[in-house]
Amino acid sequence: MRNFRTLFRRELATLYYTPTSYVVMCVFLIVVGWLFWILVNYLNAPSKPIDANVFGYLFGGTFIYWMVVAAVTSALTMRSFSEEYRSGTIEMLMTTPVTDTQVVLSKFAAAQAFLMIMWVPTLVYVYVLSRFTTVDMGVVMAGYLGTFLLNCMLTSLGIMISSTNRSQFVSFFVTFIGILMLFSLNFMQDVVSNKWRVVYRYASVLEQFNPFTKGVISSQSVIYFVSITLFLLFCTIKSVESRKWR
Amino acid sequence: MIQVKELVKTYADLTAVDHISFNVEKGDVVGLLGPNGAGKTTTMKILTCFMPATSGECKVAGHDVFKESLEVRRHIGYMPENVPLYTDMRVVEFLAYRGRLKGLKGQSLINRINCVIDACELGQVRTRIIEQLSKGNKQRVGLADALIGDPDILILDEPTIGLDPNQVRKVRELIREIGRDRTVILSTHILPEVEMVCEKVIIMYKGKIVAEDSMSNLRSGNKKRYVVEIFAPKAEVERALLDVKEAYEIRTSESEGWVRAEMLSRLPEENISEKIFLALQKPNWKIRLLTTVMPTLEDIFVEMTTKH
Repeated sequence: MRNFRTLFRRELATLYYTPTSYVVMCVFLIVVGWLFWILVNYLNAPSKPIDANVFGYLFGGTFIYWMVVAAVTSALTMRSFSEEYRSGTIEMLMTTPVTDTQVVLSKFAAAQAFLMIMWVPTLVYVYVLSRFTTVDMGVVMAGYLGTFLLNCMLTSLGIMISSTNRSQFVSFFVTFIGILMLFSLNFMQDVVSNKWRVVYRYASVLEQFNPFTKGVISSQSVIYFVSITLFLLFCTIKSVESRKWR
Repeated sequence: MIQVKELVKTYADLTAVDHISFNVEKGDVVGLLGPNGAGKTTTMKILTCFMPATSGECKVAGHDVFKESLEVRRHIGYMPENVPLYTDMRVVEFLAYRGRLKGLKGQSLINRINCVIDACELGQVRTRIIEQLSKGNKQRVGLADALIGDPDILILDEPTIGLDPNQVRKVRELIREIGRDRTVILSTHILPEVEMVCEKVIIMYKGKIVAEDSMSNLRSGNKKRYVVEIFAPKAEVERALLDVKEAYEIRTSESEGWVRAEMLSRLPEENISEKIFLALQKPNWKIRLLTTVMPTLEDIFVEMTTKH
């Protein structure tokens, strides 16, 4: 556990020392703030229902949300292993008394912690909105939980891809495209036969995220995100171990 | 301290390490010597548990590197080739991080950091960001990192590569200092380095060990060379030296009328200088040098690697 804590602190510090992280954080806050502003204006129109929930739209309701999540997780995870491989520090790291699992989990936890910190300022929107109207806290909490679970899944995918190559840029693009392909499973429901449609629906990230936008915490969705995250982390550990098989 | 038995490492169709066996005792400073691609780095990577061998047995501090890898890693300090470091960290931060990973904490960590900073003369740069350090100082940080856990065994891969002559000298002195109370294995292809620092040498060539012995045994096993410089016609000198039955492998060269002849003796126990001198006693022939030279590690190295 001590090793994990040491590694975690180092990983989190790396994210804070890297200018890329600040750029990502700024762009993220600008885009999400802008999205919130647009949604408030849009739902404020007299033609819209009085009980329309901004947070139901903010979390997963727009194309921008999905693009932001995809880009942010890809950018934050691209360095994790690729940079260690490129600079050779992996050799130094793996010859100290730490296990591959500790290294993978610390990188995952640090990226996740950074993402959580990034989302914290958006709580201001909840406060601002609550001063003018009643906010359904159920939707807000489910939205944040859904985003957290989605981030877990995408972060583990990003770290896994980063563990397979030495180039940050390759890691970024492969992760970004991989995430977009994962999202696109939802649209493929319409082009496959009925028999397969149900499979695509269950596998679709957007479909599984849907309950959270309505304030529902569905066990099926939670299990979906958690199990895929664990599977991808397992794959990452095996990928890091694979240097021993070659 | 280190026992290696029939170690093999193959990459696809290349055998990097080919059935090597050697032992290193506690307190030895061993030079792993060989040309590029001889298998030195691969051997070190196996010893430090970074990669497993294809077959064979390897024990470090009594623990098997394949089965008890974490235990082995607690006993070693490793400085990889080209010294990879987290360049975004400050020297002291980096050493603290590495110390914690190696099990140090609290006051003992602080004491140990101060101790390695002193030993590696990093006092002036302790708060500098590693990226801004000179190559020599980076090398020292790498060495400090290898030392921070107070390991019994130090494994250094090409510790002086890329340094300027002054830095090389300082790093060598440091290694010699460290080697007083620790087991050190260092790999290099710089021969004088091994001569200056190591007590024992393992020469590797194409994945195999071609020589393994102490420096003094290696030297005495390789026969001393007789050198004579004489003012005389080259062909006649060669003819005269053929009369010395004990001499063989006679090589001559000429410069401004002076002939330099080098040869080995068939009787290593006996000094044949007198016989050479007598053979070259001719009218108008002037001898200005007659001496014996002990073989350098370079001679031994060349002999070993060409023989195989």
